[in-house]
Amino acid sequence: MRFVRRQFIIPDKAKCLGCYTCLATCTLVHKEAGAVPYPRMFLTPTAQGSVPLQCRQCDQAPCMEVCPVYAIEVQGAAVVLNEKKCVGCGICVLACPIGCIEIQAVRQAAATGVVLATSVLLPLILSEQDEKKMRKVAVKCDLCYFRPEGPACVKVCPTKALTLVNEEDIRLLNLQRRQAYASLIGS
Amino acid sequence: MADPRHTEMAARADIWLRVPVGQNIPLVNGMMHILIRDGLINTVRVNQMATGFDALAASLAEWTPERVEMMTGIPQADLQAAAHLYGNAPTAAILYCMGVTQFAHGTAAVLALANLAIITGHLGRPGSGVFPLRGQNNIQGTGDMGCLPDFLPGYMHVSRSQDQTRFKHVWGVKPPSKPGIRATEISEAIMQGKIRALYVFGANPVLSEPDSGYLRKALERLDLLVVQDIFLTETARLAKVVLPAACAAEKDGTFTNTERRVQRVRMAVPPPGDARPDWWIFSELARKMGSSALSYRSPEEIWEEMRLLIPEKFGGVSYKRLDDGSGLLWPCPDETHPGTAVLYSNNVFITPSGKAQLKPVPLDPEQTSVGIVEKPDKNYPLVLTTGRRVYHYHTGTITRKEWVLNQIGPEELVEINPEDSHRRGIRNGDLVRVSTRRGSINARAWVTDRVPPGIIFMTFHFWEAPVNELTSRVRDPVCGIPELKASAANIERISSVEAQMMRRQKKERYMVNLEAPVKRQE
Amino acid sequence: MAAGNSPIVNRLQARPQPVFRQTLCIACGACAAACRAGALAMRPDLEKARVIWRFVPEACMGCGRCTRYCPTGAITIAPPEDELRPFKAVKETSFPLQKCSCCGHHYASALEIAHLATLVPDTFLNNCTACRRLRAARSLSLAYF
Repeated sequence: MRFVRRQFIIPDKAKCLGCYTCLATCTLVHKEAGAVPYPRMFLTPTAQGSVPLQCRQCDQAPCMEVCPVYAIEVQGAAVVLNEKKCVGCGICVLACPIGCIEIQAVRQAAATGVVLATSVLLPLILSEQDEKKMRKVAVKCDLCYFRPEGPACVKVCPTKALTLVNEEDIRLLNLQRRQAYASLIGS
Repeated sequence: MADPRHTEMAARADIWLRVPVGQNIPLVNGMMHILIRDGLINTVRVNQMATGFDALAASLAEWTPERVEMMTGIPQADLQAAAHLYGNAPTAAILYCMGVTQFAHGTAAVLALANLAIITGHLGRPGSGVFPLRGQNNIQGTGDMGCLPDFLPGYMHVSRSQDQTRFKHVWGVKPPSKPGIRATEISEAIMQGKIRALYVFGANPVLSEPDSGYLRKALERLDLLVVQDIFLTETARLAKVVLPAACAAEKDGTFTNTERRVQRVRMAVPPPGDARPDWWIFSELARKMGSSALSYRSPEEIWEEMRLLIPEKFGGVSYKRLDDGSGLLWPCPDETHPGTAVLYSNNVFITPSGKAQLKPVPLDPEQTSVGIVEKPDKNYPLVLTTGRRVYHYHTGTITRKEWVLNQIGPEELVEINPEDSHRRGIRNGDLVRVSTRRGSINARAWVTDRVPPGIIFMTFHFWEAPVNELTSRVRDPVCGIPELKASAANIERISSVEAQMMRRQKKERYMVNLEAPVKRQE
Repeated sequence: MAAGNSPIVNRLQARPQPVFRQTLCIACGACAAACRAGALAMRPDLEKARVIWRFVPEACMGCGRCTRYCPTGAITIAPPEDELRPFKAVKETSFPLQKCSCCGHHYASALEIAHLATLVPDTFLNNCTACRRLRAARSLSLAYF
C-alpha cells in the first residue's frame, strides 16, 4: 500500500527542443548520487517534435509486480529500483507499458561501489573476456528521490517543457475543466 | 523550413518542405516563379535597387510549380504557401546552413537565395536579410582576419595592388599577390608535390575533410606536419610536432558572430601546463625563425593593428568600447560610429553600379549546377548525407572527452527510412556497413521516418565511424566547398564479428590515447 | 551421461546441483543473470528466432542463487544423494522469440511474454520497448498545464 501522494513527470511536446540537457543532467546527478551513470529518460522523436519520456511511477507498477528479486519498491512518491539488488534479468523492461526501463551495462567495478562510465560501444571494442566483466542492471527514473529540491531534469529544462505533476495538480485541472464545460453548457 | 530530414525545426515549422538532397535550386527558383507570377514583386523597387531583373524573370519562366513538383516531389500547394508566406511577410529572413552550401552547386544555391531576398525586398531592413548559420562561433571572425586563400584581412583581395600597399606599409613586407591553395585542395597539392610542410591548427582534417583516406595518404607524404590543438587529435597522430594550444576559456580576444558582431572574450581560467594562446605560439615561432614582425604582447595589440589597417570596417571597434557594451557590429569606421546592424539599409551595394546584381541560376546539368554529382547507381543505390547531432560537436575533439555526453550519444547511428531498411532486412539497432566508392565504415542502424526513402544520414562525430572516409572530393568550382552532403552509398547488415573486426581496424588507425606518455622536445 | 569414476564427476556429485524443468521455464534469463559462476547462460540466436539456454555443470558451484531468482520455480536444487540427477540434467535447449507486432524486431522470449500476460495488463506486451515509447510519446497531448 502507498500512502504518499503519487507524482510523475510529464513532458510538453510543444515546448521541448530536443536539446538533451535533461538527459545530461540526469546522468550527472545520478552518478553523483552513486547510482549507475545513465540517463533515465528517453528522447523519443514524434511528428510534432521530440519528447523526453520517463517513468510514470504507476500505482500498481507492473515492473514492481514482476521483479523476481524485489529490487523495485516504493520510496516516497517514486517507484525506485535498487541497483544493488538488481540482477539484470530484464523482465521489468518487458512489463513496462511505456518502455521507460532499459537494461544498461556497467563495468563489474560497480558492484564494489565505484561506478564507471561505459558506453554500449564497449562490447564491440572490448574482447569477450572484458564483456564478462560487465554487469547488467535495469535503470529507471526515480524522481531524484535523494534530492530534496526535486527532480533535476525539471529544474534544468531551458524551455520549462517538463512538469512534476502530483495528484493535487490533476484534481485542480479536472476541476477547471469541469467548470469550463459547465459554463459552456450553461450559456 | 526546407530540409530532407524531419528535424526538430521541421516538427515546429508552419510549412515543412521535404526538399530532396541537392534540389535546393529548383525549390528557390520555383518560389521566385510563383512570386513573379502572382504579382507579389514590386518591379519598380526591384529595378531601382538591382540590375538584371528582366533576365532573371525570363530565366524563371520555366520553373513552374508543376515542374518543381516533378523534380523535387514538393506538393505545389506547399510551395505556393511557402512562397506567399515569405513574399507577403512584412519582414522575413533567410537562415541557411551547410545543407545549402556543401554541394558542388553551393555557390549557385546561395546566389539563388540572394536573388529571392533581393526581389522580395527582404534585405536592408531590421528583421530581414540572408544569414548563413556557420559551423563555429568565430568563423566570421577568422574570415575577417584573412583566414582565406584569396583575401587579406578585411576582405582585401590579394590581387588588388592598392589594397596591398597599405599592408606593405604597416607590415614592412609585401603580402602575396596570388591566391593560395584552398583547404579542400591541400591533399591534391601535397600529392602533386606542391606542399611539403603543413601547419594545422584548430582543425582535425583527418575526420572533417572529405575522402580522408586520400588525405591521410597525403599527410603521410609530407616532410613536416605540425599540429596545434587543445587535445591530441586524430590528425596529431600523424604529426611530427604537436603544439599545445589554449582553449576558448583560457584566452583573451574577440569573437565575431554571424551578424558581424565583434564581442570580447576574456580568460576565465589560465591555460594548463605548457598550453599557450595561438597568437603567442605564432609570434614565438616567428621569433625563433629570426623575425621580429610578429612580436606582439597581447591580443589587443593585434586588434589595434587591424583597426589601423582596415579603418573602414574596424576603425571604431576599440577594446574599451567592447568592454563597455555588448559588442559592436562592423562596419564601424570611427569611435563615434554606433556600428552597422543592418547592411545595405540605404540600398547601396558594394558593386561598381551600387546596385545589386541579379544573376539567373539556370538548370544546367552539364555544369552540375542542379542536383548532385555522384548519382546513385545499381551498386550504390542510396544517397549518403552527413551532418551533426545535438549532443556532440564536430569531430568530437572536445565533446568526446566528456563522459556525460558519451553516455547520451555513445555511438554513431545511421538514419535509414523503414522503406529502405525492410528491403535490406535491416532492423532498428542492427550493425550495418555503409560503403561508398572510397571505403566502408560500420555503425548501428536507426530505422526512422526522419530521413526520406533513398537517403541515409550520418554524422562525423565519431572516429569509430569516420564518415568522411566515404565522402567524395567533388568540389564547387567557384569556392571549393566539398560536396559533403551527397555521395552514392550502399548499406548492408553485418554480423557483430565483422563489426568488431572493422572496429579494430579503425581503432588502430584513429584512436588517440590521452594517457599515453608523450615525447617532449625542447 | 555415463558417470564414470573420473575425479571431476566425483567432485560434481559431492555438491547439490540445479535440476531444470523445461516445461516450467519461461526463458526470462533471470537465472543466467543471477549465476555468478558463469554456468548458466542465455544467448539469443536472431537468425533462428530462438533464445538458447545453456548449462555447464562443470562450472556450477551449487550455490543455488538461480533457484531463488527463478520466477516460475523451473530450477530446483537436487541434493547429491538424488540418484536420478544425471538423467534429469538438461544442458542445452532453446525457446522461441517474440516478434514485435509493430517493428518486427525479436525482443523477448515468447513464453516470458505469455507469462507476463497473466501478471500485468497485456495491451502493450506484444510491442518492443522502443515501439511502446513511440506510442506513449505520440499519444501525449501538446500541453497539459
